[in-house]
Amino acid sequence: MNDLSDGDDYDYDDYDDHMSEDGGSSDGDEYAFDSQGPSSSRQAQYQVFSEAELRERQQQALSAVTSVLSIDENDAARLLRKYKWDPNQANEEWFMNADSIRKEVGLSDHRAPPTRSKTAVCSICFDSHKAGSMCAAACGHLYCKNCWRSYAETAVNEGPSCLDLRCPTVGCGAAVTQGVLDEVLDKAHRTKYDRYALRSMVEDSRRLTWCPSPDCQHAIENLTDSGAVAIDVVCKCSHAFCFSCHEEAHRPVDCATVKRWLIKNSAESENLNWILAHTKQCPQCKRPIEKNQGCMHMTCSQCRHEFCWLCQGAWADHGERTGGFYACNRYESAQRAGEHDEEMFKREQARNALERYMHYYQRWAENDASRKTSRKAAQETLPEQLSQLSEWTATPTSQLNFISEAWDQVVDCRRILKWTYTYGYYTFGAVSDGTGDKDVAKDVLAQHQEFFEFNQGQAEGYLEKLHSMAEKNLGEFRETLIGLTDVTRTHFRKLVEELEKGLSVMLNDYMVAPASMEPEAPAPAITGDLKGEKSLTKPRTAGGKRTRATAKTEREAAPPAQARGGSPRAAAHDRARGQASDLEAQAGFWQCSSCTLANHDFSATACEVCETPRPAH
Amino acid sequence: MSGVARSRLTEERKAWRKDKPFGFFARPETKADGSINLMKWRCTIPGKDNTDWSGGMYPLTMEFTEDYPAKPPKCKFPPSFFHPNIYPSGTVCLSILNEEEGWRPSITIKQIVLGIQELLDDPNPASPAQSDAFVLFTQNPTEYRRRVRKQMEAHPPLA
Repeated sequence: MNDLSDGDDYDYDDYDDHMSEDGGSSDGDEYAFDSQGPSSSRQAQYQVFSEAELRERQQQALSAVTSVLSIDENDAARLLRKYKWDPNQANEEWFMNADSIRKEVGLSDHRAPPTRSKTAVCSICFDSHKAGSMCAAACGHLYCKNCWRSYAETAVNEGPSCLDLRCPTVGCGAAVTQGVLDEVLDKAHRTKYDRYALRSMVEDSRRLTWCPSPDCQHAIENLTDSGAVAIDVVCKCSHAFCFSCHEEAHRPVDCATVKRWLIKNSAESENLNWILAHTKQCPQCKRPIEKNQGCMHMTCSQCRHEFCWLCQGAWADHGERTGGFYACNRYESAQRAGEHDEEMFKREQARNALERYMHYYQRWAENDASRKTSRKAAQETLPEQLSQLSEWTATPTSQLNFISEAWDQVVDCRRILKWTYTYGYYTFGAVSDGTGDKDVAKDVLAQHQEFFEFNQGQAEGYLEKLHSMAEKNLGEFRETLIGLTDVTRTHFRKLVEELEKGLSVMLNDYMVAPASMEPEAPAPAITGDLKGEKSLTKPRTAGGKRTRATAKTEREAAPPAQARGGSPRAAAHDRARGQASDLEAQAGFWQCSSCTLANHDFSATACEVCETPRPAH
Repeated sequence: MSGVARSRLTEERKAWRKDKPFGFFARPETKADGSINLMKWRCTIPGKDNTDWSGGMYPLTMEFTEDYPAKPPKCKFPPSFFHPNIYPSGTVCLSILNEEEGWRPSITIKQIVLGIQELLDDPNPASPAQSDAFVLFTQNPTEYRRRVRKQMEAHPPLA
């Protein structure tokens, strides 16, 4: 127990550090998130850019190229576009083979000599103009400004491909860069071109992406080299999404599963499943029929065909010799002979699969709906309530931040909880219908499922408590709410991390940890903020079924707990406890070792919120 | 912007009269009331000598928009013209006539019709526009040539 709480504290502090960084940077211009130690390598490192910051960044990239290659900024923009706005790659490639790149991108290294003649014919409108009033790209092909304008405007109106505009001359590959365009385009089109140029940086670059939230102008840069794994990022507009697939943030579930799940939710396949499970086709016209009441004598409402629901033979064949009009011996005997078995089995299977899906889907959808309403509440009504509360209680609103933090946490947790149902649906398919991961043996999977559901249940319990507490809104609950927010946050963070590691690892950690007496032993997986004993006994009562797995866990866990009594470590702990109770008396409260709640009731034997037993004195 | 299209087309008309490739015809449409519609040209493209197309005179219309020459004209043969790169509607699929690809405002009508003549006997299998001719062209060259010659006979030179 004490070992566990040591591990607890360690994790807790670690997390606090992280949170303060988070909080500190939220008023600044950049959200920079640091990784928090080796255990959470999946923690995203990213930066949110506003439009102005993006422009600054673009300018930096441009000057990184212009200063090294001594080409002008417009040419540099063209070059960077080719190399996905990576200045280093652009510089390197250029040094390797400047000539062929120049040719490919359309940058000429020598300016065409100015025409000596005073007038020239524009080969678009075929009029002759003063050479001075015409302009040309680096290739020197002169066109009048009017024709340039219509050429460029058409290109800009066509979309971002205007960034690759070439000289109007047949066979001339010279790039038309911003210099020429600034000379001929009006302001509206110049602005449009400018926007395309900025967008191109974000869209071409692998590390940058736009926030997918509607009307949000921010871009996010991923600072980790993570490839295609799910990375949750939060934009300044508070939209949380996955950097890799742009769907809403969905850890611990991976991107492919999310895609499958969303397709499944929107697809007609479940309708088909329902039809298969609950209907039979009319033997004559093949229309699906749902039998919701009545006897076996069916008359198709469409083709008026009369048939027997059980054996699906024509009703005319039925009568005394088939066992009376309202019983079907034909069916009984066919079933005995195994004729109907396969069909029945399929039907049964489809019905089971549908029910299973509905179970997970309903919970997924409910959490989603709850997340949305909580989010709305947090955004719309909360600010008003907070200012009111601050007036009544004469507390500055900054002191009431804990309430909005609690709400943010509720919204966040609803989202994570929602995706754990998707996780459950795809991970434990094999237990019930054989659709899940086939590499894991069935009994192991069942054990995993029970463990998963226990953890999910715990998380859900915390969340519900927090949610109902947050909804109470006013009263003597500051500490309770702060404590609960932290506990819930920690619990969900661990849940995500552990689920990503895999259930086997998680279960192993969990079973080994109580036996380990090393003080620096890592906190046992998800139970870090729970009491070890409580976690062990809970699955039996909660799950209702006592499996071999939990019984074994308990046996393994028991001996070290007894052995602890006489050890010198225990004596040290006793001393420490004595000091602790003095401190508690001075402070006027005792702190729960699990959720850190300040309990004021000294006669209580358990924590007011998480009901963890109070350590004995 | 409008006006450029018309003045350019007037210039194109002049240039065509001065220097027109042998065997080709191209002139703006004459409307029912006798006035001239500069925005739609009727052309005739002769099949190239020493090819299966030689001897045919293929009618083509060019439709210009007010955005011309920033945007290319739409060039159409009669519907269901037999050629791998011509859509069932008759529209010609050619890189220089595609504004996202090879179209440049300085391409002249003369260059367009010469380009289309070139395309007739030298189809581009990379961008098929109709399945009929494309399938025969890639899988049954004998039948393809027979169909081309049959089409040639259906478009004899004007007397």
